[in-house]
This record gives sequence, structure tokens and C-alpha cells, in this order.
Amino acid sequence: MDEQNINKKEQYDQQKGVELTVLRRKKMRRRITFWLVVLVVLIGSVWGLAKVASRMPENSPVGAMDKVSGDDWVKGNPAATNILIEYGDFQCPACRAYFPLVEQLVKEKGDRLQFIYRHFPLPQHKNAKPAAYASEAAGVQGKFWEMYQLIYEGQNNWKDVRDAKDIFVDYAKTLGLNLDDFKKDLGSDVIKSKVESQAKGGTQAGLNSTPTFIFNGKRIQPQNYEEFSNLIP
Amino acid sequence: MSIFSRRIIWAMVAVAFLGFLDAVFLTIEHYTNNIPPCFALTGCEQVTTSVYATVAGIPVALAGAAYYFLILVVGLLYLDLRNAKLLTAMSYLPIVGLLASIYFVSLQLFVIKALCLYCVVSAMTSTTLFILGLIVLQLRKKEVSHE
Repeated sequence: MDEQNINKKEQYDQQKGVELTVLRRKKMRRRITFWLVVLVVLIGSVWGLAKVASRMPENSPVGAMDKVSGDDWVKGNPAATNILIEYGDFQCPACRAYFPLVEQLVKEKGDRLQFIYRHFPLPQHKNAKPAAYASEAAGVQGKFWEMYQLIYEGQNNWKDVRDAKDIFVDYAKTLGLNLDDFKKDLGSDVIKSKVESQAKGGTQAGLNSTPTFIFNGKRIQPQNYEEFSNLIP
Repeated sequence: MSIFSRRIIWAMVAVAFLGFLDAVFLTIEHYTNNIPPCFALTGCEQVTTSVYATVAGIPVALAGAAYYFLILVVGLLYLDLRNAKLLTAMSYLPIVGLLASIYFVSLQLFVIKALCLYCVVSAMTSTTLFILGLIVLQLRKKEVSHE
């Protein structure tokens, strides 16, 4: 091989080398873009999901649901302008968990607040309706809130029982109610239709979960006592 | 590896992404709701608040998210590096998900007696991943026998 040829070959190799580096760089850039896109999509979607998941239906107006009716059970100060309405299901564990928070709220701010409890028994909770009837039957004898308390406090004792009625009759006995009247009222159509109409009102307003709290006409979802307490300064 | 099987890996990545989002959603729900409310007409409340929703304090949704994330990353690594070992992993990893899904669906059907839509979606994504993994395995066997 003469010198000229060697020079040509060197030149060729050099050019090839440059092309290779350019190609390699291009490839590298493509890989970096690929993983960057992956990273952005992953982080973006998780962030978006976190937003969606925490989209509490807060502060959405609830239409006619916040009208206080003469049928409603009121705790606190019936003249107070702050109105907290709970649509509850006695068998729902979340309602049970909120029960002491509401009790504390009424105890501390009861002079500036009226708390109203309405029934929204969910279909999957078989004992929720009998519990609602029991509270209303006790209400006939003026002990709605006392029964309400016993039912929530004893939730674990009756929620999985086949026939919870006996347990509610026991509660009535504890409260010193007239048992014959109580048992009669448990099956009364007036009470059944009251529970039914409250639940229907909730469904019509688009309720699908319990407990649903409505404070002064707006749906709220406090996660702890502090958030409840902040409602009423 | 043919373009066809690379497409399958892309499909697996997409399905794993779907499963990942689903599991992440359930995980976020698990941790953000201090008190998860009861929802009407869905079994999710019973399922996600049951004792089976956590194992040793870890929500199974989180484990699911980690599983889908693993498949997602292995699939993407294969698309980047074209390493045969990663392809093997893509064929065999979904077996874990399939077995877990069979376990969780039977729990829902026979023990908890309620179905949660998000969990059913997860069962479907993991079954799809398993089937796609099988197809990848078959394609590779064919390629090997052709050589």
C-alpha cells in the first residue's frame, strides 16, 4: 500500500468515526428524550390522580336539602343560624367514626349551632333501616337522641346480627321506654315512610355516600374535629 | 425480536400503566380519607375497608402499584436496551399478578361477598398482562426454532 492510499483510509476512518459519534449522540439524545417523556407522564398522571382522588365534593350547593322541616330532630340551639345537617346510616362505620366528633361539636358550640340528623340507610347495610326505625320509635317517646347515641355506640354489637330488633328493644328497655309502644312503633308505617322520604330526598339531591354533612347549605367533608370546629369561629 | 413482539411489549407497558394508575388511585384513597365514607350500591366500601385490604399494615393497593410499576419499568427498559433477560422477565412476572388477582377476586366473591370495581379492573389488567406475556413467550419459542 502506498502512502496516498493510507492517507485515504485514515481520512475515511476519521469520517466514519465522526459519523458514528454523531449517530451515537443522536441515539443517546433519543434515549434521554424517551426516559424524560416516561418520567413526565408518570409524575403527571400520579399528580393528576392525587387531585382527582382528593376532589371532595366540598362546597357544592345542595338545593332543597338544607330546608329544615318540622319533622327534623334538632340538637343544640334550634334558633341558631348555623345549621349542620347530617345524612347518616347507623350501620356505616364512617358515620360511627364521626359520631363522637359531632357530639363534641354540639357540646362545645351548641349555643351557636343546630345539628339535624336525617336518615340515609344504604341498601347494602341490612340493619341500617331497623336501626333508623328504632331511633324514630324512641323519638315518639321523646328519646330520639338517647337512642341515637346507644345505636351508634353499640354499632359493633348489632351490625352483623341477623335480627337486630331484639338488641334495639334492649336499648329501649335501658332508656326506660314503654316497650309495647316501642315495638308497635318499630313497624309503624308513619315511621317507615319518614325514613323513606328522608332517604329519597337525599338520593334526589345526588347523595351517594354517608355521612354527608351539609353546613349552611353547602356540602362539607371535614376529616377531623379541628375542621369541624373551624366552621363555627 | 420482531416488530410484532415489540408492539406487544408496548401493549404490556400500556396495560401496566393502566393497572398502575388504578392501584395508585386506590392507594391514595386509602391514605387520604382518614375516615372512608360509605358509598351506596358499590362493594368498594366493604372491600377496601375489609381486613383483607391490608397485609401487615401495608395496603394491598400499594403492593399492586409497585407490581405494575415494576412491569412498566422492565417493559420500558426492554424497549430501550433490547436485552433478552428483560423479555424473559416480561413473560414470567405477570404470573405473580395473575395469582394475586385470582386470590383477590376469590376473596371478594366468596369471603367478603362484594366486588369493588377498581379491584375488578386490576384483575382484568393483570390477566391481560399474563396473556400478553404468554404470547411473547410463544413468539420467542418460534423464533428460536426457526434459527
